[in-house]
Amino acid sequence: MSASRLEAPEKKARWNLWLGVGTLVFCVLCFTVWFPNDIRGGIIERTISGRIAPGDSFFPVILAGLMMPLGLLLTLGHFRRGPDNAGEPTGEITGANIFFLVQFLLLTFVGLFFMSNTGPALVWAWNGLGLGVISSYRAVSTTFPINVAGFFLGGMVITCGFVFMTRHRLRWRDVLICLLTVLFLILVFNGLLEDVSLPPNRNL
Amino acid sequence: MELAFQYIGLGIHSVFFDADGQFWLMPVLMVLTGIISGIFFGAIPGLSGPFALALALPVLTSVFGYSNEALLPVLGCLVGLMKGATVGGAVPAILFNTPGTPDAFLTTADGYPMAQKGQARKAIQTSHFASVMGDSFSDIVLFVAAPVFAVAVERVLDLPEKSALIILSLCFMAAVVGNAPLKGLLGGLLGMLLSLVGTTLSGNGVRLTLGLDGLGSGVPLTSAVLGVLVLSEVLISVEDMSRARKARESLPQTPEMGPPLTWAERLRMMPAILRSASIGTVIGALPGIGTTTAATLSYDTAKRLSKKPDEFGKGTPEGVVATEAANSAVSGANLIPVMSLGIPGNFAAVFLILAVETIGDFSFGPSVFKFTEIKEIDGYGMIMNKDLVMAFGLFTLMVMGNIFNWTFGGFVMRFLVHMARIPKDIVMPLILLVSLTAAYVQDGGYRGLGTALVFAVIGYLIRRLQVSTLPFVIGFLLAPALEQLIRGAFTASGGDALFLLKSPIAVIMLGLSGFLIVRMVLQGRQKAASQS
Amino acid sequence: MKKVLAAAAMLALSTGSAFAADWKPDGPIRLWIGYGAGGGTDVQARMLAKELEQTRGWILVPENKSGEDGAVMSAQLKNEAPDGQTLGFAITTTYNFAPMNSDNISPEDFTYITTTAGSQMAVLARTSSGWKSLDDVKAAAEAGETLVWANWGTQVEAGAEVIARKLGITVNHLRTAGGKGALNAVVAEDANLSWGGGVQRPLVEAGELTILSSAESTHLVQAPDTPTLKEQGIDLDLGYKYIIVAPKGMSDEVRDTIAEAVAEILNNPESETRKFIEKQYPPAPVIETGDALRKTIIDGYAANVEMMKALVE
Repeated sequence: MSASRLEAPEKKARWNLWLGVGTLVFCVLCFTVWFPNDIRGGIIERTISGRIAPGDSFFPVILAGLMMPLGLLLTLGHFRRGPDNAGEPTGEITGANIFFLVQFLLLTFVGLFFMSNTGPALVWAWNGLGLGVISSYRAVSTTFPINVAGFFLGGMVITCGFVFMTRHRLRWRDVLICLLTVLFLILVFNGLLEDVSLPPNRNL
Repeated sequence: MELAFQYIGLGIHSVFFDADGQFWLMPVLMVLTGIISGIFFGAIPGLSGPFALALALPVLTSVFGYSNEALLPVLGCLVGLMKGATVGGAVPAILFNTPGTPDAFLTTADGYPMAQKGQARKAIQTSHFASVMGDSFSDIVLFVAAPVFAVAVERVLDLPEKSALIILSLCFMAAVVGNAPLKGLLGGLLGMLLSLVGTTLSGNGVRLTLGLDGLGSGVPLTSAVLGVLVLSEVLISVEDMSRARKARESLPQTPEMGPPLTWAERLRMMPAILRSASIGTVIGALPGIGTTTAATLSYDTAKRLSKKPDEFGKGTPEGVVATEAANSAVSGANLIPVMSLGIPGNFAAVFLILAVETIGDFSFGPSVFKFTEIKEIDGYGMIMNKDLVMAFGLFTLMVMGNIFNWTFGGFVMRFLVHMARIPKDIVMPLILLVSLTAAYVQDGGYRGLGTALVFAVIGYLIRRLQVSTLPFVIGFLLAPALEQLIRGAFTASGGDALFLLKSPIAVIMLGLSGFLIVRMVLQGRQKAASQS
Repeated sequence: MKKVLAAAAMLALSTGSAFAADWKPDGPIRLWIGYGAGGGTDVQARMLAKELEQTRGWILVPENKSGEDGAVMSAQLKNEAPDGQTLGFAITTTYNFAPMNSDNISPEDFTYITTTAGSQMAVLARTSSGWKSLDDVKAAAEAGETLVWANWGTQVEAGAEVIARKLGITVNHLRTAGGKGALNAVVAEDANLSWGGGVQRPLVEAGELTILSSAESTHLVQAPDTPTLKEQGIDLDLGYKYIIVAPKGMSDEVRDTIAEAVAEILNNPESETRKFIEKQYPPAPVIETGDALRKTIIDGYAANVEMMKALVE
């Protein structure tokens, strides 16, 4: 116990170094790759009226320029005082944190996958079973209930999935609460409000 | 003077009558809705006021749209949520020793022992009384100070001074928020850089979009703020809960409620309430210093000045009064810099600014309180300072909010005993879905949703490194205005390279900013030294 | 090459226009608005969408995609199918000027369906400045007053510079966000001169601002006696029109059906959209459609390229 306590601040303090170096790398990338390729205007330009004015790069360059000394300070602060107690107090990001982030994003994307594809899948099945001819999901994307099928399924996946993550189990009561929430969102955004569309109906 | 009364009259009128002159109760109803949901929201551990505001804003704009008429109902609900959440946060703090909102943390110090002593009802009523009094006090200061301040400031602030002022506020915020000012400042700069993605003022076409057409109109604001504030918090809670191996500990029994608070006791609290509310108001008027600081400062002062300092921490109503009156007094005073300068000082203020800037064609800033002559033009309507009418409308809504807080608030709090039992492990996933849906619906589909997710990850990393997200959010919000001001000041000066240093006021503000930065660097070193 | 292809496509499809009334959208129509929510363009587009739903039974889903004078929306619109189910709502400047500053769009990338309303482009000053005409501005500048001109975009800034050079004076340019920003700047005394495309109406009506000159090819409704820039020897027409567009390659049948549906609403004196236009962009809706509209845009683009070239030289 005591050993790990001694170790913790040293590990954490390293984050000032990572952040400092990360900032410097980011700034260098900004100046060499991002800004030159992604901003048309210069730092100081001559406008059409023949006058000098700050261009579109002016502000980004100043900001990245200000970030550099801060990154440098964080980095130097680490080395000056040795690894034990360098720089500002800091938290840390562990491998477990990253693993969690990946889990989180995966589960969210699975939910979004269901949101986007359930509707088109239903249309495909409908046509395949010979129940009728629908030209595309887009054609029925304002027709209830097929327009909310994707949101319903995806929403259930996201809510139930995360409840399972936090509770390590899923009771029928939890599923019911998720169901009611999803239905409530459908009622509000699809039923009561005009000119708004639930996912995926705005991106077809 | 007559003109001022005319504007106040129009402001009050705008709350109760819509654009066509029809009587409507919508804004007032939204205040009530906000207050009640805010109290409930505050009472659920883990959900705070800014959280409620972040979720409510996109939903409200879906409901009311972006017309000028939509602003007052939306603001009403936001104001209500802000006021309600502060009140509600105290209940679980008192009953179960778990603060509903971060600023109610110190309420546990004396509220919980009071409840253990069989004075739960008295503690809750004390906190409600102190909270509403503090809030009302701070609102009155706001009503007087914001116009006076704005008028004074408008006279001396031109484009260069306005630019310098924004720089100074950002430095100040980074310096006072959290214990890692250098990283806070770094976050602020990153926020500013990200806000420059998209549209440019020069007409040279979009910039920094990474080739994505969807970023052409810039990073969607509401989704980004929703991601940094709400989703990152959801992420952290979900992770912590999924880590926790053991099952949730069952909540302790609701303690004995005990006798109610008498009017005589309320009267005796007044001096303490006024003192704490003054502390909260002063703290609140400074950008970046939040409710928690106000509560701590007020609690320490009360303890120092008390005749019985030993009783603090053991269940004295004085302790509850000190924290609740102070933390509630922050919310009104926080709007002084918001309304008079357009600079938000805390998260709650961020959402009021977002609402005002995105809905209709209103804006906050020194010109809000310009008393333009009111002229009625036949067949066209009124020529006046619309923003000023909106400001007085907002004040009216705040007064309504306080009245509701007085009357319904106490009533609602009785039901809150059950709210603290709502399990966080179910609420968080539901909030995740609501946030993602709101971002999708309100901010351009998957573009908004994706933004919310990216900013959630950014916010998560910032929080895990124990850096405050406030400078990031404020930098993100203010940078476009700053760029426009600097461009404007530069061009209007005829291309003078030293345009920012031509005005003594701007020089003083920039000097102060420089001083703050140097201090932050030195502080960082000291902290490092004290760590060893 | 592009032009030849477009012409060939037009020729091939022109026979189909007899069946104009037959086209019906297969599902909802997305209407992309090139400006932000709550502004004048947005209000007009949403009103029109609602009335199209009422008169034709189509379903329209309006969505704001703001930025770069409509160019951001147009860059996305360009990649959609020209099937009449994704339409854009912007102003003519989006197509006859903005493409100059964009790698992504050119005026040839779009099918121009119809215009709906026209601007009331004016040169404005505060009434309290006492100026009544451009000559007064010139006199003030020669008397040593510093002039700041508020512009919301590159095109109008170029226009302001053209005027200043013609008058032989120097002005400083202040870039503002949107037309409203330009007016606010002049009212708040951050600038002495400004452009106004129509939003200035109540301020002029109230005597707050004075129209110094019309920047349209015609006199303005609010100042029928004030001359146009052209009448004062400045070859400049900065007037713009609100326009509905689609990706290029749309069949004439679809194009004309949509244009007819819009015209039906704009010509109906009872329609909300028409009433809005009459008030905001007087005197009445401006409807220009089909190949004539296309020619106007392409010619306008060429003229603007010339103007910018002349400025740089």
